[in-house]
Amino acid sequence: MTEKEQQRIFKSWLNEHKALFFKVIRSYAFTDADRDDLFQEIAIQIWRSVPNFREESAVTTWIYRVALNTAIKWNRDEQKHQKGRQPFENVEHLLEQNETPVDERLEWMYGQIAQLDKIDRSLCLLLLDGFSYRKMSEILGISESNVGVKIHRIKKHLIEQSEEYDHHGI
Amino acid sequence: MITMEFEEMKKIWDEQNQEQLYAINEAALHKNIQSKKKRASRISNINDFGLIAVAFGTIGFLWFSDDSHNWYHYVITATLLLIVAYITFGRFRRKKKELSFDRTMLGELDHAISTVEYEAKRAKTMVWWFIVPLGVPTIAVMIWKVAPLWSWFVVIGSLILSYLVIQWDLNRCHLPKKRKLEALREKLTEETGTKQHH
Repeated sequence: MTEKEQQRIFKSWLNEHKALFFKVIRSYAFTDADRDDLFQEIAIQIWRSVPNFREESAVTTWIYRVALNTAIKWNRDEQKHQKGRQPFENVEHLLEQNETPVDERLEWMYGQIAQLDKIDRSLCLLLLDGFSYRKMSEILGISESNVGVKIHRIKKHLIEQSEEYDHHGI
Repeated sequence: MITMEFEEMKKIWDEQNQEQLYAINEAALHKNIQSKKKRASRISNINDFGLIAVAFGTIGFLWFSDDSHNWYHYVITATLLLIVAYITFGRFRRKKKELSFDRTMLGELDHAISTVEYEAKRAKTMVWWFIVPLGVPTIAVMIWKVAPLWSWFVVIGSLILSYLVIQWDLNRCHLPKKRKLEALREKLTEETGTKQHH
């Protein structure tokens, strides 16, 4: 694969699956600096992964796989010590926040996801994006029954927490 | 009390696909990817870099501090070059493995754990197959040749520095990273268990 072709595919993935990138980043990084850093790490891994992509799996599954594998291992403290990284204040920002209306219910959901550990956050994202237990088990490498146990616990947690949430318009 | 059902959550979740919370600075991203790509081919790992630098420094010291160029110069130089080749080969192999993207999350964690275990093991054994084989003949030769005091400082200092670099890398990077990865793996594979939040 030529570099031009790799770049073209990467760009199209980035444009078509922006929302997926943002969901992972919002679930694993909680400051502007961290979100920028994690976005860069994920984007680089996705870019590198392009030549390895085979049509056997859907692009969404592939991107989720690479993004989640990067996010669970990502650690801002470790990144800061890597040689050759510029101080954050000298780096051009990669993500600029758009002026979109804030959905409090969505904010609440991200707040709940943030309270889960890194593994459960992955499952929660896949669950909310409609992945089947089988697909989740393929992405995570654990049995479907184990996925089921974890999903049951996550759903229960979210529903219990929603009881304490002051609903607006629900 | 009203409870939000999961289906309602899913609906709220899906709505964000229509709104783009962020705009991507594509020019900056492209620049970063290119710069990272260039950096990837350089030696940036402190362990590899530190040990290779010590090896070349010692070779330089050996050849420039003594004009006699005896058999032990060649033996020590060859040993050090073999060690450099081994470090470089190991690094190349690790980097190649890093380019696998079709692993499951469990496979990715296992791979990361085995990589960090390899690094930790190498750091622990480095004392025995790098510092001792290098230090013992060097010191023996210095005793034999009645080396000047300054060269003792340089040699002993280099050996201590090598040891400290290895230990620092082990305690500061490898062992904490290994513990974190193992905790993640345990969390991923546990079948039951209580609700855990960070």
